[in-house]
Amino acid sequence: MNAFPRPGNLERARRQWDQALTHSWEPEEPGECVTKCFYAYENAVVAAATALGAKWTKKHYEKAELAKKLFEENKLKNNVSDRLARLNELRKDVSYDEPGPELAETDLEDLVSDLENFLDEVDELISNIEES
Amino acid sequence: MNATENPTRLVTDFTTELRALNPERDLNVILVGSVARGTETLQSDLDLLVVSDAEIRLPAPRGRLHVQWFTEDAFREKLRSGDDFAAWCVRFGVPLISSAAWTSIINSTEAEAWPEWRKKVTHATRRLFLATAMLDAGDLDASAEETLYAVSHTARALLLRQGAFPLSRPEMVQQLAESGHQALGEQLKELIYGTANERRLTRTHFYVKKLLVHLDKTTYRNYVSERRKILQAKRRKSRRKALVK
Repeated sequence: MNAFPRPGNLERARRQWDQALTHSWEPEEPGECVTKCFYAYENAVVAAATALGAKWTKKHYEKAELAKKLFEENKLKNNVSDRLARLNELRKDVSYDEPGPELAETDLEDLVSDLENFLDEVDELISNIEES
Repeated sequence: MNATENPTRLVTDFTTELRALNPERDLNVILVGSVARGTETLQSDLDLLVVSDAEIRLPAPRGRLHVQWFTEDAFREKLRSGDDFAAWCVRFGVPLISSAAWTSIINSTEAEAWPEWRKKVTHATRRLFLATAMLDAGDLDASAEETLYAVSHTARALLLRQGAFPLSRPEMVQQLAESGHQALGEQLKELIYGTANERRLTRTHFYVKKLLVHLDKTTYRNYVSERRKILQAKRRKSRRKALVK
């Protein structure tokens, strides 16, 4: 288990989202956009898990499983597990220099917009935990 | 080890589902990457190449399995274009399911094509910029992962240029040492087995940049210049948006 403090993870996710937003504008840079969205989603899941006292590991697929678990336990309103798994595939294709047709079909504006909503959800969750 | 991590189970489940989804198709499933070389680490993905005679449906992503799919024609085209991943697969891939089509590919003249090392320079540069952006965002783990990609692509470019075919990442440490690039080999080793820290990553970013410029100054500068233009255009757009608001 890693010991990055919670505020750091959400702040990192916000910074990565901000960078991804720029890549979603014309001329689009899909490879960089999906990669940064992927890391931002992961950081947000870790931020939520840390606030809830849930254990997490550095393995990417285990973070996707953790997102599913937090959703099933009604800790998170949105299940981002499948999205994390898909983004992981896309960004690995990009990192190996083998971006497939799925990358070109990805709606980047929707992607960053959904991510922003998820970051707000995690932010709210953390605030509620801090207040209680 | 749970079911998600068991490599045999992961691969068996994948191939079973793949066949069930595509009963009419001619399928080839090839184990590639460090697992195929027997040099994997705990962090390694389980990489599979799927080559089919036509479009197929792929099972959903699972665990650390990473699947790359091509039609036979598209894969042959990649070989002809000097793609180093395709060239690696025909040299070192371990067939798990194979048909006459795969035998025909590996015995073809396309399979003998030497990968184009210059392609790796652009790609390594792109990963290097991502690695530095992740460091700016304060994400050491993400930066370390992107730095590993940048170093790996740079190492591949260097080795291919010298006529040595790059093996798996752990094996490249030795290959780099043998070809006179011990310092890069040490940095690759640190990234594979070590723990990331900001100072070390920054040092590696500088070193990789120097190597990329040394390898192909024109390609590096063209990428940086193009990127600067894009960013300036986006800043202008951002300012316009702010004014409209």
